[in-house]
Amino acid sequence: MSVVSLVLRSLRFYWRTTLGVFAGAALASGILIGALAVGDCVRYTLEQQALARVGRAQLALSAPDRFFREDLAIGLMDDLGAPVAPLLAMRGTVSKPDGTRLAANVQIVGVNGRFWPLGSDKDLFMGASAEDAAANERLALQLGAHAGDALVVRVEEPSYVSRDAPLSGRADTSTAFRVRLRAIAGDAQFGRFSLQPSQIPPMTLFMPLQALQTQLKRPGRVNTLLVGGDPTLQRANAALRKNWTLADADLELCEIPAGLELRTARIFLDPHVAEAAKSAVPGATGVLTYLVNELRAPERATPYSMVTATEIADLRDDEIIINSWLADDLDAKVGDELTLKYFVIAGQRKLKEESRSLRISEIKPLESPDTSWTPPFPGLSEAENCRDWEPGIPIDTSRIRPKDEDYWDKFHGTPKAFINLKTGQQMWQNRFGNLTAFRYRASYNAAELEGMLLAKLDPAQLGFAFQPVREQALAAARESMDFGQLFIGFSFFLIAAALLLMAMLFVFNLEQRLEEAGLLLALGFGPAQVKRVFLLEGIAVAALGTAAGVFAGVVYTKLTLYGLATVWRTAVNAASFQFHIEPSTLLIGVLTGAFAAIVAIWLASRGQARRPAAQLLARGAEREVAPLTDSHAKVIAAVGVLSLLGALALSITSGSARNPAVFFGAGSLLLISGIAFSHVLLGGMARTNRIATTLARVGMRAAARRPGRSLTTVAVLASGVFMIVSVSTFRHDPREDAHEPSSGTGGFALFTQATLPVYEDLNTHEGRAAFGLDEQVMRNVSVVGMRVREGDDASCLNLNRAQQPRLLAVRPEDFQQRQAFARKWGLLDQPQADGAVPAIGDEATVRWALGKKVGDTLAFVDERGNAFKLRIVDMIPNSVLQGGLIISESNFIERFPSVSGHRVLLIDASPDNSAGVADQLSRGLRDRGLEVVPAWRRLADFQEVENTYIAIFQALGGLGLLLGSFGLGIVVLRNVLERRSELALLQAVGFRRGELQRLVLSEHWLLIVLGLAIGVAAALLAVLPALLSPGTKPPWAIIVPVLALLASGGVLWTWLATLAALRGELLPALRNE
Amino acid sequence: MKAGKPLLELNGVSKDYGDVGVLRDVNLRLDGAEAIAIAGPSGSGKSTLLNIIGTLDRPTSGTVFFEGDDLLRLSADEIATMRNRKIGFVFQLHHLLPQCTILENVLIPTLAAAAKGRNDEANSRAQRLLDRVGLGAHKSQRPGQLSGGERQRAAVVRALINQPRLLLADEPTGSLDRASAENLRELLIQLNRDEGVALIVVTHSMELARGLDRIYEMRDGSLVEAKL
Repeated sequence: MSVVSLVLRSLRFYWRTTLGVFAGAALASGILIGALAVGDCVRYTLEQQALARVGRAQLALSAPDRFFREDLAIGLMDDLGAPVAPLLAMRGTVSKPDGTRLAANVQIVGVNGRFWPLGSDKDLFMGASAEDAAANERLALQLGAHAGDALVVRVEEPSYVSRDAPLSGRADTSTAFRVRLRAIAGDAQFGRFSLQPSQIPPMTLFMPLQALQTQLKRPGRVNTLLVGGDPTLQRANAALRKNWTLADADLELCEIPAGLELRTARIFLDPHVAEAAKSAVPGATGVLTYLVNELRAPERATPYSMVTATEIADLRDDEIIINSWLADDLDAKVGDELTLKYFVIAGQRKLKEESRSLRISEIKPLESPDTSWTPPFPGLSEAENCRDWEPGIPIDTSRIRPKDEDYWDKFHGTPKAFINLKTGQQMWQNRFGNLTAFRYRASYNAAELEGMLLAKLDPAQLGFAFQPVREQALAAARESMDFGQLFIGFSFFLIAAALLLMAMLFVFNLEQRLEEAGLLLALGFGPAQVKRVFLLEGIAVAALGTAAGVFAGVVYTKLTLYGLATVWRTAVNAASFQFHIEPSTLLIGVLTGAFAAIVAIWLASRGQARRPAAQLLARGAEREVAPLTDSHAKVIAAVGVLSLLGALALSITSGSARNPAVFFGAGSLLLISGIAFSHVLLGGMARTNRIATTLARVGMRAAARRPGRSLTTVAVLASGVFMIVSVSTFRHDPREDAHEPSSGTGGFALFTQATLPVYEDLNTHEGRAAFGLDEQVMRNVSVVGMRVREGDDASCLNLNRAQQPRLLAVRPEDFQQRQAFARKWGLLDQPQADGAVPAIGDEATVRWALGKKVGDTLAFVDERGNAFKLRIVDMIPNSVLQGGLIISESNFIERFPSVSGHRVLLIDASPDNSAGVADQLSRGLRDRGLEVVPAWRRLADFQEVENTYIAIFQALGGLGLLLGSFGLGIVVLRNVLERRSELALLQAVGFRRGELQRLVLSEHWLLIVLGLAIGVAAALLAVLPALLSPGTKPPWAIIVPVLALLASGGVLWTWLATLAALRGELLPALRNE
Repeated sequence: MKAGKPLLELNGVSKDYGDVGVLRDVNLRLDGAEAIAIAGPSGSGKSTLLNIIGTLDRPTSGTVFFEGDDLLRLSADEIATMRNRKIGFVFQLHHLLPQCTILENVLIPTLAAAAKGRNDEANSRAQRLLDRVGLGAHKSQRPGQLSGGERQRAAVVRALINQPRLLLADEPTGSLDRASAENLRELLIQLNRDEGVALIVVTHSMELARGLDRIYEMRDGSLVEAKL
């Protein structure tokens, strides 16, 4: 015989209660393990998707705005000894030729044979023609397209120059072409390929690289490289630097009479390039050539002329040298004043004409054309005659005279005047640069000079840098929203209810065996030893239960995955997850579950077996419960009063602020207060000397006899009701106050996103006319445009952790004027002490998707490779702007000068006109791939996720409550069984069976009513701000069924337990006594 | 036992529960292997006195010496050890653990820390004692399979397993039929003589008291030796 065998004998003998404790432990740990395993499934699935997304690519270089040589890949491949695939990735729309189906925001990817081995089991374009294409499954589904179908693709023709830059050519340069669908790319054929982390693959159309290059007029050029194998990031970047040429940066060294000139197809030299070009070779001369609108001498004017600013010795800042043709045209002579009129940027493709007067210092003869000074302005340089100019600025062709045409014919872009570089830069510098070329003396040949320039130029400064995409993809999956924690939170009440039930059953078991404890004490066991024996029993059952919990956990996980795939699918944006449990999760779950169960058992058994052996050995010892002492009652009453006062103080001081957190705190305090007062009430009822004159009073007295059990029942019911009811008010209906600027829609009627940027200002007549929008319909409609720097979707729809969220730029005054989203948008323009860029984000984006808070910073890299910080200065609760961070337009264009046009347009229209406006915009901007949704609908999509989380919480909380009410049934059964002889006595003195049932019901009804009343009162206080908000109604749809279910559940359990306990003959119980 | 000291000595022991005095100035001395009975009506304080002697309760005033040691000065651990090693209890109800066999029940006291390390010895002793009380054949049975008298005999064996110096029996025949009660009485007297263990029996049955060395009566909380 040993203590262990005693424990085992006891477990076997008391198997009914052991089974209850075992089931409780199994349930609690099963839920815990299951919840953690749900996290594993989500993480595992996201990791698998991440790997399917990047394939075998380890590194990627993505420079969406730069088009470098495809051959760069060959050089890198040789150096790295690893596969390198060149890609041309664009964004566009794909539609059916009949226009019936359209997919916007499609990733159009031009690939060659080196792409497929990185992620596909076969080359989809083996033997393909230039018209062939392959759609991934999502795109094919969206279009309802099959192999062999023809599709129309529309993409923007890439421009070397930002569309915002002066002289950048015409804005509308999208091009459309037909392709034939050759194959559908599934996951095994790299159909999920994407560099953006999301569980939803983008819609992708793969095309043969050369065909796309031809369509985009960029032969031999790509903008993305994928590197397989296992080269390190450092090696890849070093190899890039080694193989990089000026051509990859759109730079060119041209021979000019005086030597060599460095120029760029991008018109303006990037500041980093200019700096490198100047420092590479001493004595380099900067050049800035600009198209001026007018050169005017006092009496006569010459329209549209090139003027070059460069470093000219002895030329003063206020002087100008003109050629003889201009002097003749203006009838000007040395010493005369000449006024230059020219456009400068004043906002989104808005130009402002400015002027400056200079004195003519010299007139140079014009002998032969010299166009080397003039960069290849799009829409200008290639024009045959002046009337064909499309320079991207307003040209009044009526001002162009025949002599101007003659000049263009003979001398083309030869500058008519020269000014000092410093003066030119003062007038014409912009965010794209302040030089159009650098000139070098003839002492170097082109190859030497290129080497010197490349030595000074860091590719990273122009945005050419490899990223560890595989590592990033896995990190995004690993750091994704922790569904394990989320479901533990959701299941908290269920776990607590299971543990409580288990602890209660264990205590009942102990109470049944108090005589045994007394005997052991009498036989010489110390009190601690006796306690250990019983605790050992508890631990053994908890351990066994926890082990069984592994199976319960598997069931919980599978049921949850089923729920997430069906009724709760909106919570995960319709993603489907694979079942997968890590051994470490099982271990953590088992250990935590066992620990929780053992702690619950230890806490519950603390008070047991404390009495002397003689008392424990006396029959009926378990029925004696120490009444609540005066001092204890006072302490508990004080807790109740203080909590109540705290609740009132919080409610009153919160005033009009209606801070939900404050009220939730107040509600919680009221809950504590209610439970404390119940304790005092039950204690008072137990001690009262008043004679119980009615059956109900007798019942209430009985309820007070076991204050611990009764209070547990009240607390479980009250807490459950509090949680379920209060959480339900966090459900939102986005339509309630959607027209209010302070709401999550910002008062905007429509939220639109364009695949291709919209350069036109839709607030102007010209802008609307460009898309054929009906002025009548568009009357009183205003549009706020936002620039977009693509990044990771940091909304609740993306389960992956956003690494670099997308950036949206707005002019703060556009939001401030209409007080949109009730934020201080001026904060976006307030400089930060450390130079960080202020940003405002949706609360869900900042808090959950990025794990940040107000005041925190995020590291970013601008398009020139410069690192900068974003500082969160404010958050918007529940808004349509979820998914990205918003910064001011001025800060945006400083860091991303090449991102031009607006891709997010917020439409302010009256509710009765919004459908018409939506229709106009959808039709008019179809070619830009504009997707129009009512703002409330977008908000609803986000809120649906939150509402689903609430529904999950309520469903699992409801199960917890059900378990709690089952516990109530056990309490009733236990109470009644303990008092069988007492009830028999009542029967002996003339009570009928029905009256006894009523007696038992009445005492437990008191507990149910107390629990429900306290829970509802606390919940209503907690949700007062929500209830006082316009348009919000008390959640009766939740409150009423929950209360009805609990009340009827309570009655049912009580009735069943009473029936079971009063079954058979009661009177023999008297004789047994 | 310390030389010249009695096994048990109670001097002026009183016990009050609030305002109610249960025991008043009780004096008692027990030497060697004496067997005494304490008789008296229900509620006279017999069980309270037995609990104080058995260290399950403490007196309000007075002293209790066991083998010369003042029990009231012992620590809780020392008292538990003493109770385990030197005192055996037999209650009105047998209090056998229903989950254990008869042999296991008998061995339960050996599981207390004080008795550890004597397993083999305890096993053979339990076997011998069970044989002696006629339960040898029932050692593997559960209490529920035995008659009331057999259960009570098993409880007596359990009380003797650690070879105590003093056996306390509280109404041991109270829940037995006449024949079983007589059997148990004889067993207790026999064990007292053969095993050399002192015996205090609390009973309101004069039949049980007969045959013991002395008989005391509890009257209004005082202990008075009865004249036979």
